[in-house]
Amino acid sequence: MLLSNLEMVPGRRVAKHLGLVQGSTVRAKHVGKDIFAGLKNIVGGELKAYTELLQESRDEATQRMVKQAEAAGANAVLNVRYATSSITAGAAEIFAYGTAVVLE
Amino acid sequence: MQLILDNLDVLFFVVLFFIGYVAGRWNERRHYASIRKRERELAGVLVFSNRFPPVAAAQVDSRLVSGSVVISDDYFKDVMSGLYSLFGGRVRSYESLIDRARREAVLRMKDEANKLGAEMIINVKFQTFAIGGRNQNSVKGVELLAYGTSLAPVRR
Amino acid sequence: MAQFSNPELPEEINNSDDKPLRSFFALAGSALLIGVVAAAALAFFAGTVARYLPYRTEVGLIERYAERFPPRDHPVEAYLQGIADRLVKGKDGAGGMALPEGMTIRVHYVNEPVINAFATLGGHVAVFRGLLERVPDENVLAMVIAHEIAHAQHRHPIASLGRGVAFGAMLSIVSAAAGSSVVESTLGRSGMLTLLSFSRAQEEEADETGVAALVRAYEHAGGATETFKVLQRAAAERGHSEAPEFLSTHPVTQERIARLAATIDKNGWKTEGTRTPIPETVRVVMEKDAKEKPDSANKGGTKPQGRRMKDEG
Repeated sequence: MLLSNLEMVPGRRVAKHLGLVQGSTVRAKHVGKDIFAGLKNIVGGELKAYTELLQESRDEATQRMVKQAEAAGANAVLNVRYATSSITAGAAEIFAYGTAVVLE
Repeated sequence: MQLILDNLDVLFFVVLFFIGYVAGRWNERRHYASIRKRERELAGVLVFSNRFPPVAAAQVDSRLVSGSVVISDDYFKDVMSGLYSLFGGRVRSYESLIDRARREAVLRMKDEANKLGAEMIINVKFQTFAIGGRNQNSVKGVELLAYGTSLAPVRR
Repeated sequence: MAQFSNPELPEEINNSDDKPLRSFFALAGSALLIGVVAAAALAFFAGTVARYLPYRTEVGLIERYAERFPPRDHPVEAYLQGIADRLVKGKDGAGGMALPEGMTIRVHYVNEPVINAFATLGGHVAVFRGLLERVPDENVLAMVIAHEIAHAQHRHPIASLGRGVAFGAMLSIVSAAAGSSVVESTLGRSGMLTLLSFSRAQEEEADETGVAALVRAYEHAGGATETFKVLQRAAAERGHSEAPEFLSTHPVTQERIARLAATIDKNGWKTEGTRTPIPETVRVVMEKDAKEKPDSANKGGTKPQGRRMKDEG
């Protein structure tokens, strides 16, 4: 599965546009990591636990988007975009979407 | 009796929890049924995130269309989100909430495009906003906005 | 020319919430379990540490409050203090209770109709008029006082305080991080139930030490089990029924009596002997006090944290 945030793939022609595909997830870290993150707020620096949390969420959202694209019979997702929102304390909602296409 | 009075908050919790679960599930099932039905009805309006219209469609009427919805949390989902965030991992109870909101927003956008006679919406973008967000005492809900450009063939 | 279409997509990809009730019971059960285990570990740790606090620190904690209740020249208080001294020293100074070094027991008489007695930090024991009016003789009263002194001897008040503080701090940290009131109350409740079991264990310990002191001071265990019957009767008269044991700070009365009887039996103590009546002068003073304003009307203020004989809400 080819992912790109370009409109087209250089040198290849889009045979079929299969429409919008999307993947989203809401994830949280366990409370122990939340407490350490709270302590980290005193001294500053990277919040490794949350970097990890957002990374995991993004991976999962991407994976889900790819799954939808596969179900649609596509071999690439173009124009991929990510969006993040905070739906509840300590949890990250990540949303990935793009257009599923068949490349020749 | 004394025991019941002493643990009134537990009783409240159980009642709210039960109502939240039953009503929340019922609402969700009904909403999904309606989403599926309308998705079939509006299958004629195609959605893409492409920024450029197909080459063949030179003569089109392009308009900004959007659809938005705010879906509420229910008591059961709220309780579950607290438990999920205690242990970490997927906050499953909110996944269906966002899924429903997103599909509803797309449907409303499609409905608007359909009324304009469009067969296609391009450059679709989404915006999510958590109402209440981190404030515990506020009403909890999620707002989903979907917007794009509808392309309707020009009739002469 | 590219084709445009929107194939139908499977539904479950973005929604994994398939068995919510099952997840709830699994997660809530684990949260409860963690709450109990964490509270038990914390309570044990904090209770142990608190006991090793020097006695002087404990006195310092209660000093401000104790200053409001200076020793006074009151016949009832003097009488109660006499019983306490006898219990601590044993009959004719033959050795009674092994108090921690530097600890002195001071008994306060509280002129209120409440049926209660408690021991608090710094070796202070309070006995309420309501309780005094109910006890049939001095032996029963001595058991109450011996029980409270035993709490002080084992340093239960400071251990409870340490446990309470540690547990409260932990709970506020976790619930702030979890950001959910439900999680807070789940952990809080399961933790409270655990703390209650520690409290009941303290009562049992105090019962055992108390009855031993009673025997040393009065040469028989007469009145020991009656104490609890008096309390139970008093509670029943006011229409209170006993809460199930796991919700209570104190063991169930019946079991308490049985356990006490078993202890007496095991040690071969006499269950009956000469009973000392409560002096008529003390009774007269109490009757006079009953007509006056209760202490709370003059002094005010909240009660300090303490180990109570029996809670009368």
